[in-house]
Formats: sequence, structure tokens, C-alpha cells
Amino acid sequence: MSKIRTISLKNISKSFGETRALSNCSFEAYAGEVHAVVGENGCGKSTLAKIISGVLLPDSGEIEILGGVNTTPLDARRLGVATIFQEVLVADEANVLDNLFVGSEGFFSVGKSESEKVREASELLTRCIGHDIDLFADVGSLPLNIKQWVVIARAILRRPKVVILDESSAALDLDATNRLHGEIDRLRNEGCTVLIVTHRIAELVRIADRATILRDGAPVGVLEKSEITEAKLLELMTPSDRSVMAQPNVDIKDNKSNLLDSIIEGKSIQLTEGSHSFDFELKPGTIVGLAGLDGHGQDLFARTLAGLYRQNSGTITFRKESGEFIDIDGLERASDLHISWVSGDRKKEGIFPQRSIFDNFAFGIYRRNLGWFGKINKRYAQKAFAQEVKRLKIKTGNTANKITSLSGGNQQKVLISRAFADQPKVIVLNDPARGVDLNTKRDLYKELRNFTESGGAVVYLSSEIEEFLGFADRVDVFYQNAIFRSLDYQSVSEESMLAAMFGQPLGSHVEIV
Amino acid sequence: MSTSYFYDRCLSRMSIDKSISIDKSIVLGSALLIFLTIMGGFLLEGFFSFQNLRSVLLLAAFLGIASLGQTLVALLGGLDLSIPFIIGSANILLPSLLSSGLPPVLAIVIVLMLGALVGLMNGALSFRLQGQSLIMSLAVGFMAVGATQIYTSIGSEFGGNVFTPIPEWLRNLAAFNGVTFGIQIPPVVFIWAAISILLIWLMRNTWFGISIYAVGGSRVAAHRLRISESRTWIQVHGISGFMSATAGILLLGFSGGGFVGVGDPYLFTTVAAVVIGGTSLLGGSGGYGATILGVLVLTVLTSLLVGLGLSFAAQQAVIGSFIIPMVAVYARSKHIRNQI
Repeated sequence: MSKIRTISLKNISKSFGETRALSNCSFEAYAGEVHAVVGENGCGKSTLAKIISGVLLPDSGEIEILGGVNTTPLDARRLGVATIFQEVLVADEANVLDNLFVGSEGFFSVGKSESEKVREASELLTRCIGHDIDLFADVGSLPLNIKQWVVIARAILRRPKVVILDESSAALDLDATNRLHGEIDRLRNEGCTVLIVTHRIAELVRIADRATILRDGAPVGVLEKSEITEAKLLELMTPSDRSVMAQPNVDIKDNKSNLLDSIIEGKSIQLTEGSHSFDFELKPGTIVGLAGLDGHGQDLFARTLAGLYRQNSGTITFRKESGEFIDIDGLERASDLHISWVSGDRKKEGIFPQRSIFDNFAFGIYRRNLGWFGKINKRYAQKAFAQEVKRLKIKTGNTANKITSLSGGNQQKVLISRAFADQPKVIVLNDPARGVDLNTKRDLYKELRNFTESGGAVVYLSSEIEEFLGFADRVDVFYQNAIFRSLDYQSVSEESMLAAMFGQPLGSHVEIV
Repeated sequence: MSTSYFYDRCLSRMSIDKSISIDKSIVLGSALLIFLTIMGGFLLEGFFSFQNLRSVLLLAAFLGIASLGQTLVALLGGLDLSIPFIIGSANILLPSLLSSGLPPVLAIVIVLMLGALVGLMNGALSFRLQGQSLIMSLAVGFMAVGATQIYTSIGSEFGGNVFTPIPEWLRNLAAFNGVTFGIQIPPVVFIWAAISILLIWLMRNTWFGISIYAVGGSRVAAHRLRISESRTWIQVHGISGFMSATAGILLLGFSGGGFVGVGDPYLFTTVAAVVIGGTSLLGGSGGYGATILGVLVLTVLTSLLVGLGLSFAAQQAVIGSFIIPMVAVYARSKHIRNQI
């Protein structure tokens, strides 16, 4: 097969503030191939996808896509690039058909006739979803996985020459993922370049013709089909000096906390109506991981522990030092009990973007030290801040600068230090390492380990199962809004977690065809 | 010992840095104020006269008091359009109460409490209907001013104007020739200064102030810190109502007669003072110190334009055209492409 080059990037660099997302990154893709872009979170793969789709402009470097240059998403689309973003971008108030063909018509020009649209759309959607859906229903009334299909179908209907799937299988179950792979095959056979941006290794081993591995914003290898194996990918993705994450923590075995009373106990918890009920236990001195495919309830459960969501039924109690059990029935209570919450979605529920670095820290710790007439104790906050900055090695520059002047990782560090400084007994972290560089991650793991060693307990939700390896004392894997299986530190492996995430019996190997 | 000394040194350095880099808007506002003042000195004879400075300060005091609530509401990301109507209401309600024989102090307390009450109601309603808070504050203002006019017109033909003898001390508080402990400056200027100092201190040093910045900066993040958005929102609107009523009362002392339309100019000028000062209308950044600058800039500019003999229409045009570069400088947010 003669190779037609469709995408060619040369020495692309892109920085966000202090964070260098891509540095001198070159990349090529050809017609008729499924090309995976792999790497850990924060390695720059999403940035790369956004540059190809014209959403971001590179700081330097050359781009050539299908013989043209794209500077806006519209350019990219005219050239024949269709991107399916991680977020499910649909207009809830419009019907399925309009969502599928949005933008295909000009203000005065009419594209396809409606009957033609209906025929094309229903054919494709039936193939994708497996059954008919009402094309004139409002998209807002549809479940998430169907919305995801609408987004995917929208891209396919444009008859693109380059399709980018940015973690688009997140909301799909196993069956649906297989159907998606069928569509990808079809596109490839039509001569389309399919870029899959993912950190799910198992998935791409099956389907990719070639893979580019990114690390810290630059490609560290391009693998041909025959070379793509899990081991090889992991090896390339992982920096050689990654000790905290890659090696099991020896200390875990010596953990004496098994003898201690648990600090949080959950009995017959039913998260949502109709879901299975489960028990939960958290002992001081331990790190419990929460895993699961997106939308399987692990996020709800983490919120429940922090008092941000109320379970449908069952009890979740906190054991005070006095031996008294207290129901965690809301944010106020959780805070009184010293349960801290750190969100990975720092933009939405973490930072105050217009405030200074110091303020972002201090706002979180004034509350427990209010004086007369609600007077805040600035000196106390400054002392605590100076300590935490030193301990967590936060690169702050002038602390009066806005928090947004920091890289994402350092912003997250500030928020985590805020949680640490608030005298927590339990810290619940919801995917805190999202978009954070490796060194920061490592510091975070170390700090959390120190915290548990001094008697604290940690609940750690992550969407990247690699994070749990050698870190969590136990991983509770969620499936359909309940804990499907609890894995202790000895049985935590990517395979065992993946199997549980897909609701497979113990010991089964998950095949994604 | 030595380390703690070192820490303290660092910390004090930190806070010095902080006050220096605090806001480019403060620097810009001050520069603008100085520029306008010098311009005034060159262009107008008697611009630096005691009389002129006194009248600038007096007018600034009214605007400053009226803009206080607007600043706080803006910090939450809202706008309070009820301010001019509450000013007008207070301005006619007070003489009406006085003429019905109430002792002045009691009447003033009643008017202030009613102002706060209307503000709280405004806050509660506009909180329930977030997104419509602008029009909601306008509606509450209309209701208040309408109801007050109906009340004051009982037994009189004209609801909008109420004339009654005003106590001499209230006149002295806010009249041009008012005297404060022998100083030829009306007390309202000092009252404004005292309120300003108190508020700025509160905003920086109390949980209440922190709550306003937090809610204005990010509602969700504030909620995670157990800061109640509804409480903050309603409190701030209550304060705005109270301060509007205060402005209305002081303006009665200034003019000597109740007129319902006395608040009308404050619809635009309170917002303008906030924006020129550099408080973002999107919430979360800025402060009353900035608004004070905005108030002074606006008042000095007006007095300059009046001195130059510009008509009211021309003044409006000039002041309006001032807002554009201000918004361009402060309220601009980064293009989405450059945000992380």
C-alpha cells in the first residue's frame, strides 16, 4: 500500500504559562491507518489532538494537514478533520438529527435534504447503538452513552479524512467499545486516518496499526503494529526512574493498621436507587483506592464520604476518638469531623482564579481559627503556608501573584497543601493527579504516605489504574454504582483491576476485540 | 529563635510585596486621578480653591456611600439596580415621617431599617432567580419607590416631592457649608471616610469579607469551604439597601427637600465608579478601595467638565466614553485559547 501522508507536524512546541505541554514534538500519520497517540496524563497528547483540530495554536513549529494549514477549528474541518473530544459536546435542547448535522449548512445554502439526512443518520446510528432511536427526540433526554454516540456519529457523517478520537470510549461499555472499533475499522478501510488519543493500553493494542508514545511533551517512540505490546508501551511511557509508582511499597506489608478500629464504616450502602448495596471500611493509616470506569459510581461514593452527596440508603459513619459513631450526613458534618476533600477538577471546585496564591491557600484554613467578630488569623495562615510551601516544594514565585500564574500541578499542590493544613483525619481525593506532571505526582504519593503513617486515612479515586500500583493498600473497584470487588495490595494489578472494572469474574482476562 | 525571626522577616516581606503588586487598577486609577486634577488646575481658575475641593469631596461622599453596596454586589458578580430607587424612597419617606410628627432619630432609624429590609428582600428574591438578578433588583426598586410614593401622597397631591422642615443637624451633616467640630467641611465627608476605613478593614480581615471574595471568585469552590452563597448574597444586598437609604437621608440634608428622583443619577454612576475603580463586574476581584478611587475620578471629572461649561449631554458623552477604555483595561479576560 502506498502511503499518503495526511498529517505532518514538525517541531511543535506549546506552553501554558509555566507548563510545557509539547516541546519540539514531531508527528506523522498516513491515510488508511489507525494511529494511537499514547502516554500518561499530562504528556501532551490532548494538546497534540487540539493542535491538529485547530483548537489550539502552537507556539512554534510547522503543521501540514491534508496539504493545508489549520489555524481555526473551522479550517481543520474544511480540510477534512473531524474531532471527537473527551467532553460529550451536544446541544441538549436540539434534536438528534440537528445535533448530527449541525454546521453542515450555511446560512442561506441548504445541504442535504431531510429525508437523505434521516436515511444516513438512522443507518449509522442503528449500526452503532445496535437499535433504532428516535431522531427527533431532544438530545437532552437521552442517556450519556447515546449522547456519546451522537457525537461520534456526527464526526463520521462528515466523511472526514482524518478522525481524532480523544478518549472517546470513556462513556461506552464493553459491547459498545467493540462496536466503536468496528466503526474505526470501517473508516480505516475507506482510507481515513484515525487518531486514537488514549491512555488505555489494552484497548489500543488490539486496534492500532501504529502508535506514537509521548512523554513529557515529546515523542519517545513510534511503534509498528507488530511491535505494539502492553509491555513495550508501558516501558516507553514510564520514565526509568519511576520508583514510587512502579514498585510495590514494602511498607504496606508491615502495616499494623489491620489491628486498629476503622475510622469510617459503611453498612449496606446503596448509592442510587436500584443499585447493589455494599459495605465499606477505612482504617487509620491506610490508603484505599477507588477505581472504576467513568460513571460507575466511584465518584458518587467519594462525594458521599466527603458529605457532598447523600447515599440512597444505608449508613456511613465516622468513628470519633471517643468511640462514638457519627453519621456523615453532609458537608458541614464532614468538615466538623475533619474529612477533607480535594478535587481533581480544580478549575471548577478548587481554585479562586482571581485570588492570589496565598489567598487560595488561606481561604481554606481561616475557618477553624476565627476570632472575635469573624476576624481571620492571617499570621497563623502565613505560618502554615510557609511550612507547607517548604514541605510540598511548591514553586510559587511571589505568593501575591494570582493562582492562575502557576502550572496546573502547582495549583493542585496548593489545594492539597490547603487540605493538609486544615488538620484532616481523613482526606478524600477525587482524581487529584489529573493533568499533573510526574514529579508532582510522586511528591503527592509521598506526602499521602507520610500522612497515613502519622495516623491519617486516605481515600484516593483515580481514573488511571496505574496510580494504584504500589501505592494503595486496597483498591475498591466500582461497577454499576457498587463496589464490585475489593482488591488488597497483593492482588492489585492492572489486569485484576481492569477485569473488575468491566464486571468480569476474578481471574478472567479482559479482551477487547 | 533565629529561624522564626527569619520567617517573620520573610513574611513581612511577603506582605509588602503583596501590597505593592496588589492591583494595577489602583495604580492606573491614581494616575488618572492625578492627571485629571492637574488638568483641572491648568484649565480652570479656582479649581484648587477650598470651595471647589470641598464640593468635590461632598459630592464624592454621596456617590461613595451609594457605591458601597454596588461594589459588594459586583464582587459577587451581580449588579444592584435598586440603589437609585431606594435612595429616592428614603429621600421622600424621611420628610414624610418627620411631618407626621415622628422624632427625627426614630424616623431615620425606621428609614434605614426599611432600606435594609428592601435590600434583604431584593437579595432573597434575586438569589432564588439567579440569572435574572439584574431585572429582579430593578423590579424590587420599582416596587419600593412606587409604594413609598403612594404612602407619601396620602393626604397630599404630590407624591414625588415632600417638603417639611428638616432638623438643623441633619442639614449641617450634608450641606455645602456644613461644619465638623469647627472645620469648614461637612461631616458627611468624615462619615464616608470612617465607613470606608471600616469596610476596607472588614473586607480584608474578617470571614465576611473573605466569603464575598470566595463566592464571587468561584461559587462551587466557596461551597466546598462551607461558605453559604445564599447567605452572603442576601447579606450583601441588605447592606446595599441600608447604604442606599443612608445616601437618601444624607441627600435630604443636602437638598433640604424630599424629591423622589434624587437617586436617578446614581443608577449609572454607582456602576461607573465600580468599573472605573477596577472591580470586575464578573465578581471576585477588586474592592472598595478601588471604588473610592473610581468615585473620586468620576467626581473630579464631572466638576472639571462642569467648570469647562459643558452641557449635561456633553458631560454624559465624555463620562460614557470613559467607561470603554476602563472596561478594556480591567474587565478583559484572556482569550479562551490562552487559558489553561
